[in-house]
Amino acid sequence: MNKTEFLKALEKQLKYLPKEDRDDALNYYSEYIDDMNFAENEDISIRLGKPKDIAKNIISECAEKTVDKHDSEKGAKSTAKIVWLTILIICSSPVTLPIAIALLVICFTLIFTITVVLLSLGLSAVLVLLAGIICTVLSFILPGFGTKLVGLGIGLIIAAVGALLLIITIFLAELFIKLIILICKAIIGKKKEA
Amino acid sequence: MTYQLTAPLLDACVIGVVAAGDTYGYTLTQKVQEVVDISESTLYPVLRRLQKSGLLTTYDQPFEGRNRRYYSITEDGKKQLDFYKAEWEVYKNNIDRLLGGASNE
Repeated sequence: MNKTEFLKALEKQLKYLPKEDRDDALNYYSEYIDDMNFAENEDISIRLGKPKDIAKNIISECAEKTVDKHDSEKGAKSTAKIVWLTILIICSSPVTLPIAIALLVICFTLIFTITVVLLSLGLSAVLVLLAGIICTVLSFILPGFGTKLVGLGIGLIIAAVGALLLIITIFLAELFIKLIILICKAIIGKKKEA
Repeated sequence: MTYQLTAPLLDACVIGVVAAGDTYGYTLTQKVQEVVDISESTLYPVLRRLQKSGLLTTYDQPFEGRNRRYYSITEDGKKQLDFYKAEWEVYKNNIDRLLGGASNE
């Protein structure tokens, strides 16, 4: 494996990292290889190490950095980054690929199912809330004071139930996202010790 | 090597070498390798982390028609090195005491 082949292989291993991190690593190893003074036909990976192993180090360092950053700056973007890096770490772990794929499929199915359930819950909540509001408004055009009052009461109750459902859904969704981050951090942290 | 190097101690060693004079990845690795058994690729993530946390800074200098990235220590890095040195002194003395039987305390 010569310099060009080595850097190509390393780049391929790092292709899912942010461009800045990838370029920095490639520049470092390009310089490093020049400094190591290899012979014309020498295999670089024997002295320097396999691109895959080197990439593993870089990816887990990148993940730890993202976790540290996430502790100070919250937000959907940095959460997504953590989830993404966790997937990368699972893929680059020594676990055989079929097992990694199976694990990822199970995780995705779970996440997908829970997301769909939460979305439908949220949608129902919004609809119930809407129905309550419409009922409340319509109660004003009902004939007779008593009927108006009953309609208003029913409308407000339905609206309140809808609002409550919505609050519960948002609470559950936040809990769910926190859980995902916790799991990702646990996986990244585990790799740190290894 | 009988004794293992922990991550903070490796950080301390790297900062120490850089504090003695600006240096680049390859010679830095060589210097640490003279004393501790680390692989050629051990230091990249360490350097990157130290750089991100503001303890080291980098600058580029041309060398034989290519680029060479030098690492140099920052003010924060110097403070951290002092801290590491003090911690190491305490740790080293404690271990020495234990090795000596700890009877004089």
